[in-house]
Amino acid sequence: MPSFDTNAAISTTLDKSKELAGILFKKFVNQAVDDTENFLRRSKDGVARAGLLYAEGKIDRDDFEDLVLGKKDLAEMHALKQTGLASATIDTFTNGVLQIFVDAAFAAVKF
Amino acid sequence: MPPLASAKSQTKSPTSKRSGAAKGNFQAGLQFYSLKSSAVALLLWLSFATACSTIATFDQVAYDKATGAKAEALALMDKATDSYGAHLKEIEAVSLTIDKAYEYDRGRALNTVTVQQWEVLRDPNRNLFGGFLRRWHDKGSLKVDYITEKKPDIAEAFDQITGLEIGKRKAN
Repeated sequence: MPSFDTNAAISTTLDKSKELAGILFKKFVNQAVDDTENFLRRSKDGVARAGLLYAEGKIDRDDFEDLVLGKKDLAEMHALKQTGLASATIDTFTNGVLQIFVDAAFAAVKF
Repeated sequence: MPPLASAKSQTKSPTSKRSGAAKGNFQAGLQFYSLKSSAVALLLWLSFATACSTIATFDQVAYDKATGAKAEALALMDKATDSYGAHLKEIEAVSLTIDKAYEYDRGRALNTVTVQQWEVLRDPNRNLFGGFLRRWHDKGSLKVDYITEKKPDIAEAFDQITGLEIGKRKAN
């Protein structure tokens, strides 16, 4: 006669989901921080180079303003990417939990 | 009395067996019901979670269109030291490539973030590729130092789009 150990299935799902969340979100946060630090460094260097070109008369004021404002638009694109990647991480987590639950549910059925 | 008791026990025995069997059937029924409920709950959860995706999955075509557009845009930028009019056809061709990539992404479900990225990149009133073409048009030609400094920004803008595409979950 088949039986189903609901408590075991739920308990296993919760434990493994916590583990998955720890791995996925930690990885996401680390990558986001690295990515943002690199972006800020590149932006800072770019603005410094643009300032130098303007000071040397190699570009005009309009060019300089465009280069600086371009960094602002790039920052927005960067932020949008991080927003999208956060959503993708949440989806990966949701699907991971479902897979864990399916595996735990099959393991909990006793024939 | 004993015969009666015996008779009673004889008459009770089949009833007891029937009762035991009924109880067993009832328990089996309950277990089957519990199993069935769990399966139904699981199916409901699966459908709910599947319906709750928050962003589109990875799309190779969208990725290829964005990388192709990046290469064409950067190659065109090198020509901006010449007059805008001399490269009108190339400008239109690259603009069309970018429009196609944008429209492709616009047609995908749950793809709002990527579409917003394209809009920032294409907008002539902002300061990425759309703004670059507007400035080229308005000024007639652009300085080589400005172009050299601007190209990495435009390349990075495209990279933000392809970087998000790569980061999307692969479809099952």
